[in-house]
Amino acid sequence: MKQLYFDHAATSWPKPEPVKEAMLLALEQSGNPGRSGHSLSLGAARFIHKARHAISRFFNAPNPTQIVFTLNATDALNMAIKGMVRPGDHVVTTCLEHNSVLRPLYALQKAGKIQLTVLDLQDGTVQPEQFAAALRPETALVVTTHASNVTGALIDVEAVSEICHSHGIKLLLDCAQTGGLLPIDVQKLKLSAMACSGHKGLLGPQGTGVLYVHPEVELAFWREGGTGSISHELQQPDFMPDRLEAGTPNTIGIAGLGAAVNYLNEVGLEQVRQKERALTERLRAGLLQVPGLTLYSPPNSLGVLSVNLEGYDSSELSVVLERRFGILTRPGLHCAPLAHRAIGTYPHGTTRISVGYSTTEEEVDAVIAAFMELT
Amino acid sequence: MTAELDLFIITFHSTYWAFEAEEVLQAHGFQCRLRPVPREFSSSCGICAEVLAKDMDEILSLLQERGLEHDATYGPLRGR
Repeated sequence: MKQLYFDHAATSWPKPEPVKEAMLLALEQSGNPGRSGHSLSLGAARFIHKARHAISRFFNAPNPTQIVFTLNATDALNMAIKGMVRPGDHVVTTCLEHNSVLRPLYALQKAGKIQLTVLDLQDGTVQPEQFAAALRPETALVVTTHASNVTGALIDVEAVSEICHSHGIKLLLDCAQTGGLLPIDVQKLKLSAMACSGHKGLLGPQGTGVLYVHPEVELAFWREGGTGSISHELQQPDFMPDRLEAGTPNTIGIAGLGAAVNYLNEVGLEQVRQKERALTERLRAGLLQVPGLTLYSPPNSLGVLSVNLEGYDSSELSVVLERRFGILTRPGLHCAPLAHRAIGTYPHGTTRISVGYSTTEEEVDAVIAAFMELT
Repeated sequence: MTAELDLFIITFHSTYWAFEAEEVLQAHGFQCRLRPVPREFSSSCGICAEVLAKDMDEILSLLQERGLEHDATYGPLRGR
């Protein structure tokens, strides 16, 4: 049976050919990046250097040194959240966040270090006015996702950014679901920091993530260790990106991520977005015709459609979709328990069907036909 | 070793700036080879640029003009 991949919101698959080629090349031609100074060491460092430039251009960072390579978006979000908050700060976030934002914030709240406000769902998303209303004199940071990983609901981050900027409050944007799908300009959005995973919309390999940090935002040290720079000093370098990049990095993965971003630039983000939008609307329209199906994603959401089908548990539905039709989806809570509470699907969850750049119209039609057969 | 092969070493705080400098200098036709920093100099980022002494004035103005940060310069040195 042919596999129909509809789990792009977790990991995009398959990866473009140039990504595989870049990773193989890096695997064959990398020593330890920048440490030893011989040709294989310099070669490895060049792979990373080029990728840093490519990603910096992609997100329009003011300077590539403000781009830090991380393990994934979770790593980047932890670095940004824990690196920015100070004791006594009030932080505003939303019910649509992934656990990669919620868990660090709840841990800080539980430890008595911060006060936390979690904004509720209003008309399928979180509205900019809700952010404005939640601000207090001691509010130091707003952390919001760009789009829900459960429903694909978008947050108007331009408006949220204006609110934060006018109040002098730092804004951390989680672009795990939107990087590589929507244009993200970290300068235009006046972001203090931005986290993105490498393995989703950016089409890179797992084990890669990106953290952008505004030049005037000094994140607390995350981990200390070898950087290959000022080795005589026992203190971690304070300059970027060495400040936040101790230890031997994932050179092969980063080379793949750089190639992925170059590939996206060649295809064109607008082209990617249009294709994703057309596929999403085709899938949405088809699913809405299925008797007994509840769709939780609001109109104009990203291609992350959460559903339940009458008579099926979300896990059971996911299993049946794979075993009978070869359709790969993700059931459950999607690491976003508050989003599920907000849409009324906690604790049973939903089956999430997510499209990606490699998805075809035929595959979308096959999903709709499968649902029709199940009713 | 002839006099025209006399070298200068340019050190950088971070490998990022070493690679930036290499790219720009080579694009401008200057000989520039990255190598480990000689131990008698500051370790800086561990990698330094080895350039020709005769190009130093032009290289330093170019680095300044392009906002490319460097740590220190050492030379002229006899190449090997």
